[in-house]
Amino acid sequence: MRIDADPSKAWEMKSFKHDRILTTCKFGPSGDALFAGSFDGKIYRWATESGERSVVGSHVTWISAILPGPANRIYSADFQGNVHAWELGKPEAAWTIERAHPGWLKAFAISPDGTLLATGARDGVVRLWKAADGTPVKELKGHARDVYSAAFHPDGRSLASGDYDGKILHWDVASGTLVRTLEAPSLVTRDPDFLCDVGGVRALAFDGKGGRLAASGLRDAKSNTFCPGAPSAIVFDWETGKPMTTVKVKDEKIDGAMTALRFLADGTLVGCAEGQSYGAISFWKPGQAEPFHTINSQSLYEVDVRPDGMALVGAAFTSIGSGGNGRGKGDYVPNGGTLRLFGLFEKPAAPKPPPKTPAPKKQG
Amino acid sequence: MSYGCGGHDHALSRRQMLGLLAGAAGGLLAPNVAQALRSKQRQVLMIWLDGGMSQLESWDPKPGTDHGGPFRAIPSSVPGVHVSELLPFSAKRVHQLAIVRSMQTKDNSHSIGVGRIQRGDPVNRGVEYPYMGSAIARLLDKGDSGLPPYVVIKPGSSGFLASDAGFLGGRYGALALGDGRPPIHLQGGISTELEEARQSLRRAADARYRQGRGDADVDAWEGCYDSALKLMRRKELFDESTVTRSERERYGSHPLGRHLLQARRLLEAGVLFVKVSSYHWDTHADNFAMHQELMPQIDRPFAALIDDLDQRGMLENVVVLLMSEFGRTPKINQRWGRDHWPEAWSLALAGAGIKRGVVVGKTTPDGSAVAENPYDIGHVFHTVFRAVGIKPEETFYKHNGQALAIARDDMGPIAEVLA
Repeated sequence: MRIDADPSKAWEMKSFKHDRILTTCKFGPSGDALFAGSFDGKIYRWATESGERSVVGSHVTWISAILPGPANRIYSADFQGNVHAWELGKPEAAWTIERAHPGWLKAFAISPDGTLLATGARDGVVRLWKAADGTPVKELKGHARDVYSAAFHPDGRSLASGDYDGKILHWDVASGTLVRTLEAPSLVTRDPDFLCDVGGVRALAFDGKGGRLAASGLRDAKSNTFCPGAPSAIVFDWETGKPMTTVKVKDEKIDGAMTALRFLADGTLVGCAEGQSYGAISFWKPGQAEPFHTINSQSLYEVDVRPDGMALVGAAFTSIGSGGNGRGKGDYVPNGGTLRLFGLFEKPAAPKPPPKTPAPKKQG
Repeated sequence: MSYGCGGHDHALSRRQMLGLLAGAAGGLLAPNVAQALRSKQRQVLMIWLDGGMSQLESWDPKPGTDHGGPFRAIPSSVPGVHVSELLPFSAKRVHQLAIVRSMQTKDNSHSIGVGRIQRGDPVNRGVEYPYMGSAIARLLDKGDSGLPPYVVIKPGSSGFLASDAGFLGGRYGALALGDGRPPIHLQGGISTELEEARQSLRRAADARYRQGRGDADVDAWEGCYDSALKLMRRKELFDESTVTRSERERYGSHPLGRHLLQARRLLEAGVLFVKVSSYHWDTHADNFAMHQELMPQIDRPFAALIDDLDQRGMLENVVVLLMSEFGRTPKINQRWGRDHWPEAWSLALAGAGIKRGVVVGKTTPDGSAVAENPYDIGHVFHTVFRAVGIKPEETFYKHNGQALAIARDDMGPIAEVLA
């Protein structure tokens, strides 16, 4: 019997804990494994059935992004601008690009055919690399500030990259030329009282057919210290480049940036955002600003959808020991992370336990 | 033995204190030690990063450790000393600096911490102690610049910060220049002569008001006007056309850069104590993206300032202090922020009376505690006082017949940084 995805019935199937914060998470291509990058500089693989964890590879610093590719390849990027390619089961990197960018590599995308990687960082340059061996292909110059996000169009011919200024640049991949600029100015807050702008296009995602592009971040930031504001995403009509819908979250306590976006096969948009105390995964129907369903969680940094569309994973924060201002009472150890795996369908009813066999009467 | 002593005696020497306590002294006539310093007037620049700069993203990086954050440590101009990669310009001036990595203070809240730190965390004597700027304005000779001794450059509005002076009284408060702009008197078309006439009338009214009332409010009021009048005679200090393009570029166009450049100009003109305040360093969320944006705003102008003071020979006379009210937690919270951490943090000193190229103190490998040579803010007050030629153990404030230590009498200077 075929079951359709129904996010409103989402339920937590499993969770996998880690003793350091998990920055990013992805399903493997077959959906039977989860990958995550961590503050400890490692990329991990969890087998979803058994929960067995293995280390895919290590970086010199925090992992900023990972991308599972075809043929058991995993690509990873870090906060110092390095990129590695891994082959599962081999401890040494298949290839390495040292300092692909000078510093924190924030934007990382793979082309639909798996042959190209796109990277972006604080230097404002988008770079294309051959996924096979890491050789440079093109440099795309046009952003004035940090590149935060990138996504290939499903047709593979276009690339979108989002920046700190709230601009989304549309590139022609073959020629490397800038086609046009989409504007998302509400995703950056400029205030003369702030020490710096707050926001940027933190995530980009195309829907399956490539008709819509969603760009997310934070609107109406109130400070550059706690960075509270309204997590939000703007959905653009890709053909016209015009904004169609601006989506928001339901709970005002979720006041951090919306840091990840995905589309489900039916066009439902999924986004995750952080809050001061907790975060949420929200689901929006096309054209709707209000989410039709929300899953509350600890703050979340990324979500991904299983290739079959029936499950979703989130990289969530996990509090460990004492925290807050000054030294508290508990152990002073780093906070951790949890991969939370949700089924996007109604939870199957638990099989009824077998009827109890009445205990034999004692013989008097 | 040294002490500051001017027309209004709030400071006196230990000998005078003993004399006073013995009932021997009537008027406090003391030699003005500031006279001895006048030939080489010491000045102070305090750079205050309000909210708390992260020590781990600045002077005490711990890459690769549990709480170290994602950034690299880079070598500095002193062999073996590394600082965060977010300080590339300052890294090349570490040979001019004294970095203290073992600050250990008490308050983890801004509301208590800011005041207590800026007043030197005095022992409770039932009085409100002055901020460092007011203390220096009181304890050192003001020099002959004719300029207000204590100027604060800060974002926002201008005004006169009488409360900085605590028990010293309003006249030792700070003239605040909002966004580094001159007082409003200098911005309009009013002539100096007309302003003098207006001030004469105001003084007469003040004198009448003063009769039968306490002096403190009128002192503060007059101090504010007097400061503005003094600056009216030095309009060139705010003349943007005298700043070269190269200077602007080296300091940067953001507020902190512009304010540090203005601070240098005021110090050149002879202002005794300049404090440059920058707000919103309280990075509870997105600490790493924010520090990427914030650190260049102090790194580049701080390096430019050290260069300029050095090239002008002013590092011989000016003590530079760069600090916050505390550091930031090693532990990273759910918003990838760092919270308040008084337990182990860093500051930097430079200039007059300060050793160059030294790093003092050490934190534990995870950065959560001081491992060697803990210092409190009282030690910093002792150090700055010493660097400008004041001996805290021999100099006291006098307040209502009570002798008050100018710095914590249970602490001393950070000897390792004193030249």
